[in-house]
Amino acid sequence: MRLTFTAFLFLFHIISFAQDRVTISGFVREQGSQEQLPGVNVYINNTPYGAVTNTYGFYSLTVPATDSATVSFSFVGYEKQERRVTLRRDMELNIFLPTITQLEEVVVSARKQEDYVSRTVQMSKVEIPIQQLKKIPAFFGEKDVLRILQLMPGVQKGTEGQTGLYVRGGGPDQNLIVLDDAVVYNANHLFGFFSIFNSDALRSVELTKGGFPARYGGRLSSVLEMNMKEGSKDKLHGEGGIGLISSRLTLEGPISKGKSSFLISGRRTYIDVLAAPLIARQQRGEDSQVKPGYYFYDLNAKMNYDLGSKDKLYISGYFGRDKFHANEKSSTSETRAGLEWGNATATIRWNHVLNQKLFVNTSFIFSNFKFGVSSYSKELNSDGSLDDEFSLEYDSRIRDLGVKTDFDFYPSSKHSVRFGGQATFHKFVPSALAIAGTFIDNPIERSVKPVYSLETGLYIEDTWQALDALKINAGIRMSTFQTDVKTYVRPEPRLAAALRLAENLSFKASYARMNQYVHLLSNTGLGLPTDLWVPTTARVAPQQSEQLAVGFAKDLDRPALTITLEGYYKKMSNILNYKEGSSFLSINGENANELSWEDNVTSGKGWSYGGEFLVQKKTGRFSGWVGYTLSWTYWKFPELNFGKTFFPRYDRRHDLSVVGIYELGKRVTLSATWVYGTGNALTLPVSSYRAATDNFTTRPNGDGKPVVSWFGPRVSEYGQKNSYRAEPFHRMDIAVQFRKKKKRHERTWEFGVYNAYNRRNPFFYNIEEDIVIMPNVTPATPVATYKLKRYSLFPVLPYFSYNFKF
Amino acid sequence: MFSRQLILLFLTLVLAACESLVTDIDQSKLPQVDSKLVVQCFISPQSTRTNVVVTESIPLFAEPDYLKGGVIRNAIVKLSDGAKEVVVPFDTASQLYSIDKSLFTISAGKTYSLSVTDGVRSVKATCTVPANEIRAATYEIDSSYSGPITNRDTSLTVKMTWYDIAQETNYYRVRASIDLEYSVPDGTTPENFKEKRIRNRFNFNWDDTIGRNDFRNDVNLDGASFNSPIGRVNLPVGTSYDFGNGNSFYIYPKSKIVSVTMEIYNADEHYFKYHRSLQTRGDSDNPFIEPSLIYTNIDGGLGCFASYNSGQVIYRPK
Repeated sequence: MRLTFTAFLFLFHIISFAQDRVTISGFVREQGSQEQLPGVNVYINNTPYGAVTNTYGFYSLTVPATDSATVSFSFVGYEKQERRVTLRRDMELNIFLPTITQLEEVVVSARKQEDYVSRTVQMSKVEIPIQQLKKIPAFFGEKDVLRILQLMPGVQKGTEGQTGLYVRGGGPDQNLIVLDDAVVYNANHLFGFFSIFNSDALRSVELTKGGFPARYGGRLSSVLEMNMKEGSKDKLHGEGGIGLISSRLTLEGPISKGKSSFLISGRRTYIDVLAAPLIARQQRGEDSQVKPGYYFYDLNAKMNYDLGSKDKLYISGYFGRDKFHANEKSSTSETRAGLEWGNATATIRWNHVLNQKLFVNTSFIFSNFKFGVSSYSKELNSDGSLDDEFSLEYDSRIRDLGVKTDFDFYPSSKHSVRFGGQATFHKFVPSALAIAGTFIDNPIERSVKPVYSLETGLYIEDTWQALDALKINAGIRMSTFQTDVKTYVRPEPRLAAALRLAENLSFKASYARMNQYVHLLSNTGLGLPTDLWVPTTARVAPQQSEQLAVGFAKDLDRPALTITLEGYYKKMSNILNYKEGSSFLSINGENANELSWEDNVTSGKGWSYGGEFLVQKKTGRFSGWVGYTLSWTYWKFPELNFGKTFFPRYDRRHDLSVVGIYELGKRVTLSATWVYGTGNALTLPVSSYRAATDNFTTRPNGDGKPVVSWFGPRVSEYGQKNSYRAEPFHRMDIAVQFRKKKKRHERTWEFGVYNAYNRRNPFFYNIEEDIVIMPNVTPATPVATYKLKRYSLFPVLPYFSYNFKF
Repeated sequence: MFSRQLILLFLTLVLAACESLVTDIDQSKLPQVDSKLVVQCFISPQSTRTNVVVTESIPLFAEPDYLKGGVIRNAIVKLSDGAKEVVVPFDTASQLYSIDKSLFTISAGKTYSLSVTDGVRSVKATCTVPANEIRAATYEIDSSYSGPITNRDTSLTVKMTWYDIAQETNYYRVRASIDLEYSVPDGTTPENFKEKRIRNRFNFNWDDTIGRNDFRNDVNLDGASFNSPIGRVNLPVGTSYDFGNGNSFYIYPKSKIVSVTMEIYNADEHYFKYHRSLQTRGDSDNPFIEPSLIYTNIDGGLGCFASYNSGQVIYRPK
């Protein structure tokens, strides 16, 4: 309370100082579609005064009054606009930026103002220009934002092909993934090989790895903020593509011209249809016929209304489902297994300009994730009568209802203040299970009572130009989490500073403390939907991290390069993991009714440190980047590896990505990526032995004399946990795009090759036993030998896709 | 579990067309280790003998050696309580190193050390016998009728409760056994076929329980009351014999409980961790699940040297 009061005093103080100043504010939009543009640089020429538009394209700049000034608006991919104005009184200035046409984009080599990373206080942030994303080679031609993010330093992939993000030693569950303000719990399609984000529907993608501003909270390692396009306000536009495994279509246009617009985007796979004949061929002539099938689809929709110059309303939603089923039928048995999961989100956002210096957005948010397994099996006797029957239904759900209000306040040209709050009601049903069958004593009907909890966050942050060369973002977030018996209150201080050392060179440092109140339990390391989301409870404390990062940012003009070098140290506590040998569904016997997931987890700590280097060229005929990460991650859990420190599976010493895009002409684009990463840390058995348990039994032998005998299973000696390094991972992808403008639309053919030099990267390893007869030994003696086999997933894979736009 | 089948099915789809995606890793790139001595010994003041199992591990990625991996017969096994040291002799009948209580006593609260050498390799370990003995405060013996539809059995179940020893870290294991008198057939021809009464001891089985385990510790539960899971033992079933020509016999077991022995082990940490790690090793054939490591406290080798103090309650029907 005292803090809030002080903050208000501070704001008041600033306002009262700003009397001989005027404020210029307004919205920046794209010409034509009238899409609002975030991140546009707004500045007064030949002065130090500048601002950046917020997520909704709003800016506000308070400057000393003057008779004549030139205001510039610039943004990558758009023509720069300048306006001469008289600044004697507060004014509103709304601007439309025309897009640079394809032809000009190739020729343009001048550096744009907003691209100077050295001038912002935020560090450890990665932005993916959607246009660039569409030119980079993709797995099966499916352009995926998460895969592109994996090419950035500090962001690592897990296993081959997976879209999970491992940011600075954190797991994929430690990323706050936000789509139009709604938290997305499971970002995976097809067991993690695709993400749920359809890039056609996205306007912006931003990943923050450290130095988190106070407005973000709830996860330890990163914030991935995505915003959907609003929908064009001038006329109907469409975009779509036909690929090898899926097709997609996006339509956008005005509902009432200039006032409201819509966007709708859909995608569905058809590998199930393509694979069906292959599977049938494999099983020809067998008694038992297996029919597996799999597909996913997703839908994005958005509508927006202009309710006058001060109010705007956005309604957006996402809905996606993955469905997998396998039915097996033979003359004596029948098995049906199904798996289904998906997210649904909905957001209503209301923008309101309270006055020229104060902008407010209020969002009502719904998010839902559901995962279900069903299984049924039946065995028949030879006479056709029923022998055994078994059915299992399992599902796990999480549902959020939330409200969020954010204020952007621009008291003076030196301060930009944000404050607000958020409250989310979570409802978790971690697992509901029903089992029935002929060989089960009592049907199990285990519906874990839903867990309700309330997560809130209140924050205030100020970006302050303290000195000409020093910019600071200081803030605090009060996060709370209320379970039915316990309330956690955790303050989270945040601080970031940028010190300009020379023209276009700055030194940055940041500190952030984060808390995570929802946890993902995963025992596969794959992005399987079986991973279970669970809340903080009285027994399971929130995860917490502290991160310190320092770095340099340098912008060069010729060539137009951005170079960043960062180092970080991150400490994580109370991170959760399954106990060794536990899994999401362990159902054996009668005590299953009493099992709670809390008994299956163990908490520990981790720490990670490393350095990241990035050289990036965003504009020009040749663009792309080189990113390198050197890092170490350690875990220590009292109940894992017998309490000794170990490397988690995805600890990665070296990670290198090279991305290049070359515009050969206005119709042809060439692109290539190359990635290299240290192998995963795995646990490999090194020897085997009989492990006698304390179950010695005494039985009489042939003479009636009691003899003690013992029994022990054959087990493996593993050495230290994760002490074996898998082979390094490397791969090159290439693509070429041919664009052509037709009468009514533009089409692009894309041909590409994934894993161009057919590197067999490890997906997993398996040990196989082989029994051989000992040579030169009589009598013939069999002996077991063991081989380690590497399983790779994707050989060289050519692909093509056809895309169109109108 | 389900996820594994899922992955395998998916992989089969993907891998079906491309066998070559599986590659043997060259032997030289695999971790090479030496064979180690494996020693298991569990001591308690209540046991009549102290037994030591000595075997060796077989390196997985070495040249196969069929002579490796069996019981080591020529080891020198020494047991000491700090004041007295004995050499534990090898018993060829049981293939164990074994010594009687009368020759070497195990006492509650004392620390023991064990050393084993086969001339080339030497290992050692120590453990301290928990000082306190604990008995079941209450118990419940019941019978139940269950099993697959075609093969129902009568089984006997047992449950116990006990109170944790406050102010110390405790590890428990529950065990129970039944001494049963029942009938079995004797004889091989219709002429000499008869019913015979015998006595046998059966251990109750706790394996088909989860959540609660027969191995427990008192983390967060200091001084609390503990419930055992349900222990179960199937009673013998009747058997029929048909020698042809109408000579058929049916032997009903007519089981009679002589006694039920219920034990609570107040075990040391090594005992608990070793057995728990064996129990949870479970799903290790899934390449995506982190395998669980088997606990060892044998310095230089593998296996376990651990102790417990057992408290018994015996039920004898009147």
